[in-house]
Amino acid sequence: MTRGLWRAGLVAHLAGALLAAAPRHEVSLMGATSVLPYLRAASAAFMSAHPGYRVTLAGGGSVAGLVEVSRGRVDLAVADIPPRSEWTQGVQLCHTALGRLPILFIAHQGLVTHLSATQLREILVGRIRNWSAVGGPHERIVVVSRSLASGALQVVERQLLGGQRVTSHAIVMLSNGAVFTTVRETPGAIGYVESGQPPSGVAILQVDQHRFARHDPGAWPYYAVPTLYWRCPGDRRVRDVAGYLASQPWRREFGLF
Amino acid sequence: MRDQQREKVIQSVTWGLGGIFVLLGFGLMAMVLVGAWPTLAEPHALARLLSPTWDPMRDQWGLLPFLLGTAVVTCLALAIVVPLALATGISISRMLPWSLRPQAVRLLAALTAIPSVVFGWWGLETVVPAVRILGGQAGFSLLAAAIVLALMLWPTLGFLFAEALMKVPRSYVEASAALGASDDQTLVRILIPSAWPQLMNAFLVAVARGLGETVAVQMVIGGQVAMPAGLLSPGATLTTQLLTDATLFPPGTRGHAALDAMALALLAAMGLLVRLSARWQGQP
Repeated sequence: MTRGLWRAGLVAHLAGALLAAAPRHEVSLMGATSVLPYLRAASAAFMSAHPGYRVTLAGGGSVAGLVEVSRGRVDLAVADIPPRSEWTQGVQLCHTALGRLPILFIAHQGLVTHLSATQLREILVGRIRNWSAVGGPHERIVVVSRSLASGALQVVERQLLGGQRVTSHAIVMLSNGAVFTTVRETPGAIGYVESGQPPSGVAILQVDQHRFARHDPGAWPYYAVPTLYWRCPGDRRVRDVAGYLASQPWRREFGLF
Repeated sequence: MRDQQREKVIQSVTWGLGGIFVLLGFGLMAMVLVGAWPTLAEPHALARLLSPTWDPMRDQWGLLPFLLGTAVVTCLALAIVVPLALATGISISRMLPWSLRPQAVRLLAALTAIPSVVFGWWGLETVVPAVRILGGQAGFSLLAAAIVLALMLWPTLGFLFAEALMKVPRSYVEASAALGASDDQTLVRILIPSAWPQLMNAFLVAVARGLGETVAVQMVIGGQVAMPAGLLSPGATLTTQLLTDATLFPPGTRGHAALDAMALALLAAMGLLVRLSARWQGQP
């Protein structure tokens, strides 16, 4: 009898503990991988400041995030490209920007450190194919780009290339990190990465008179605007999380300014 | 009576599961066909799909670079791996002492279980730089993809070849030896012809695996959507391009239909392989 009471008490205690630990508000977020490091840190800070909330994160890219939030499969999307109707299927999305994320042009070391915007454009669209044409060594240019689902690619094509396409002869990588590694390892390579922190082991290109400096990122003209999207009007828990993520001043540490 | 009932239940469950399997298979094919239909039903669909330009943002959906990439990578990988795997199969089935053969087969079977991403990672670390040094280009290339694929297929094909050769009755070999045939003559004139249907089946399994491999190839091929200029040029295959663009086109869009057409091409190739396999086994 006593043993039975003990068992019942233990079960009740465990159930109580589980119920107490279970989050009351779950918020799922999916999208651009470039800001996931910040979102990881910020969502952890949010959860510790707001017990009862659980924020789950997934990558997949900007387009995947927009598609999934429009279909109601996730609560929040993060994307650095504006939504298109074919992705959202007419669903109205509310949004708040996380900040600006610089897009840096990087080259394999020992080639060039400075290009004009015109030279950079001609290289990326494939009209200039040798570094000697822009003052570098006689070496074939290898353009390293991102897949069509990447927000960074779309920003580069819109802001720098004026709507032209990156050459179809480019090597296509599926992530920011893969572009960086490939440019670092491949002689003659040039590419672009979303980062507020200049990566080491590659040449960060100065474009026209613009040189990226961490202490003055606002002077750098090429950037994406990672933005949080949710189905309008959205319930309070989603708006709370979005508001928190978009307002943390320490997001500059992650390159968002 | 109870045994009969149990038998009936087992039979029903077996039929039910078999039915689900068939339904899933046909369902998958139907889903891909229906998905690809908007592309296939367009005027000049075949010409558009076989054009050399893939640029979804400009409504150009040519699959030729990926069809070519798939064919080149698979054929080149098979050209590399078939002699190696045949040598492995012959070594295990003919040259190793009897006592070591089971261990060798077990080792090969264990090697077949290595995940493809490990081969891709290894390819990225070693094959791409090696091709870069030898070829003087980026290293990401059809050649690098074929080498990685070949090394990935080696244990599977070697295992299947060894199994096929070991199934040839020992009496055939002994009879050949009794007639004065050398080892080489026995191999070429008795063993290989006797095991030919199984060897061909193993080969078709390797072709199917080669056609369908995605991750390892994606990691080293470069993903270039233009027509490859040569073996040292980057490229893409049907599967790698499906992976690359899968998140870009939600169901119902024009792009999704093009991706379904890619999947349909792969299914058709696999269907052809199954048909060939049946023919080699002498089935109608």
